[in-house]
Amino acid sequence: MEQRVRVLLIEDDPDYTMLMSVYINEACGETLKYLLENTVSLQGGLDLLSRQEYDIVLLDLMLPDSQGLGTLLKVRAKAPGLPVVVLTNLAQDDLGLEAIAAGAQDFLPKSKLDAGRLRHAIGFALARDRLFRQMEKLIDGSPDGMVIVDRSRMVRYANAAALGLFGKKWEQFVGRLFDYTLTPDRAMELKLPGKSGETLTAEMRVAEIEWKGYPAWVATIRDVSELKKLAQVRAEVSERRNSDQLKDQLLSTVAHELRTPLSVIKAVVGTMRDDLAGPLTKEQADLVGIADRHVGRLTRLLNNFLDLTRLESRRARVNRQPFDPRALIEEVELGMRLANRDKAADIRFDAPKKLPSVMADSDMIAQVLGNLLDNALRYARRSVTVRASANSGEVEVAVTDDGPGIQKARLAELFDKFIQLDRPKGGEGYKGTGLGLAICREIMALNGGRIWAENVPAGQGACFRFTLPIAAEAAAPLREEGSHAKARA
Amino acid sequence: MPKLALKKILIVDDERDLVGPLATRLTAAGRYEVAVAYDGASGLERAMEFRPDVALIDLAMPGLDGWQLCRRLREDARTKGAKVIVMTAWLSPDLGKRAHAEGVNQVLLKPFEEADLLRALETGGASP
Repeated sequence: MEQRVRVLLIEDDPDYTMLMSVYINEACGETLKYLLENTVSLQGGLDLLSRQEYDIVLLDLMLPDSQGLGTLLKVRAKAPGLPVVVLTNLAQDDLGLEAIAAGAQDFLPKSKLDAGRLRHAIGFALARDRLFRQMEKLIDGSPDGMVIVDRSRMVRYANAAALGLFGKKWEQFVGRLFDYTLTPDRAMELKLPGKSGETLTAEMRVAEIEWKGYPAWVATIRDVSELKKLAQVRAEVSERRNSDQLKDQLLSTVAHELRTPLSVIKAVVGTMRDDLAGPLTKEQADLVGIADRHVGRLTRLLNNFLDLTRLESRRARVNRQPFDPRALIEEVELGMRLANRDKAADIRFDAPKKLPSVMADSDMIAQVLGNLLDNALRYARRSVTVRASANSGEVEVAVTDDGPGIQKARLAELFDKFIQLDRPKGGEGYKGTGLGLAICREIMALNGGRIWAENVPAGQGACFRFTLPIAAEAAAPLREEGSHAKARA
Repeated sequence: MPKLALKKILIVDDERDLVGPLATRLTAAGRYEVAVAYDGASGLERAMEFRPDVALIDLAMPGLDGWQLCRRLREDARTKGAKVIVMTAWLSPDLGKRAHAEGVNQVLLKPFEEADLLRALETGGASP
């Protein structure tokens, strides 16, 4: 197979060009052919380079329109990948070495030229070029930015990732001073301006390397902005979690500590209320009655708060067992009826004779239903209705009052902590804790159910609904809980 | 004479302000003979001579605490038949389990309703 090497000779001396073409012809062998083209000026050379492909350039540095190393740099800029052998005059070895440092593959003293030397120089330049290209390919393929910096701190090579990181074009970066401290074997952090005005954080590592025959450094630069951000977010999250835990702990401790003095106040007030410390006048009895109600309120508040803390922390034990929802509703309703005998509103219960068993912690569900009935009785004008029905794997329970309803804008936040609606009060000085519905929501979440509120159309009252999974269906999605329940049953 | 029919209740709590009203209420109920102590050690001493039917014990006390007092009562022939009710303001997840293991008959969470206290005193030695 014949190999053709296309040689561009940029040389203004016609005698030397003639000599060169003779040597080139001599150098040709059976399988290796050289095709020589000549131009006499840098501009001519640049024109040819932009129009045609060559394998190698033989370059005289002393041309009519350009002298010295600049000539080489311009050729390199025009055809960055093309190997260049510089032709030097006698006693210009220094220039030749400089040319190599500036990217030439080799230099060839004109006076020592013959066919063998030329062939050797071209072959060597091509082979050396192939090796360098392998190195460049390795560097180009790196997702990290890589910059080759020579010992004069001049950038000799940079891959696309590096140009991207520094936000520069090749010609703005390569051949210029590298503006960062190079400390081998130690990671350094760089702050770089990002594309959209943000600051990138990059980590730079520097190692010594030989680049095209000369000692140099290779700087590897990695964008760690995302990692940094992630680490920062992680630190913030864990800090917040810690402070949340501390806050919960503190509140829980305070709530528990309050119970001891509260128990004393309750006992003392109860003793007076029941005339155990001697008979009270009407006025004294009224005052003690007020104190007694507020002790009750404070007790409820503390208990609700501790309930909610326990539920939210998932420390609550959930004892899910199949039970008959109808029996539970009747039981809670009876308790409510007895406790609210003096209230004007009455409770109606409307459900099919038979409801399927549901899978849940019945004590917890009784608490939910109790809370909802309690709320409803406070706001009802005449009656509260409890309806229950079974559909598609769930039993739905609805507690409806005929009170003023709930402002639409507040329906969504109803189940948040410490939300008390500005609905007209039920009187009797009974005040809610603002935690009841939050507790309901937590309980429903622990029992695989849902809870929500809606208004009866035309301001006819509020309706709270919750669902519970039917026992047979509950076994599949909550297998762990289900198997516990079975083991206990 | 009717005094012989009274149920003997021993209240042990370092919270004197709570012990007073409790004793007043129980005495006023007319069915109980009440003795009190304000720490675990004197509670134990009092229990040996008083031989209560029911011991109402606070858990968090300096020195001999409620759990230890309960154990000592269970170990002594004179008191091991007594019903033990513990009172606490601290509801911990394993409170019920621990109470059961220590031979406590019932737990009352402070603050409690008078009705709950009276019911606890009257019901049999059911475990919590």
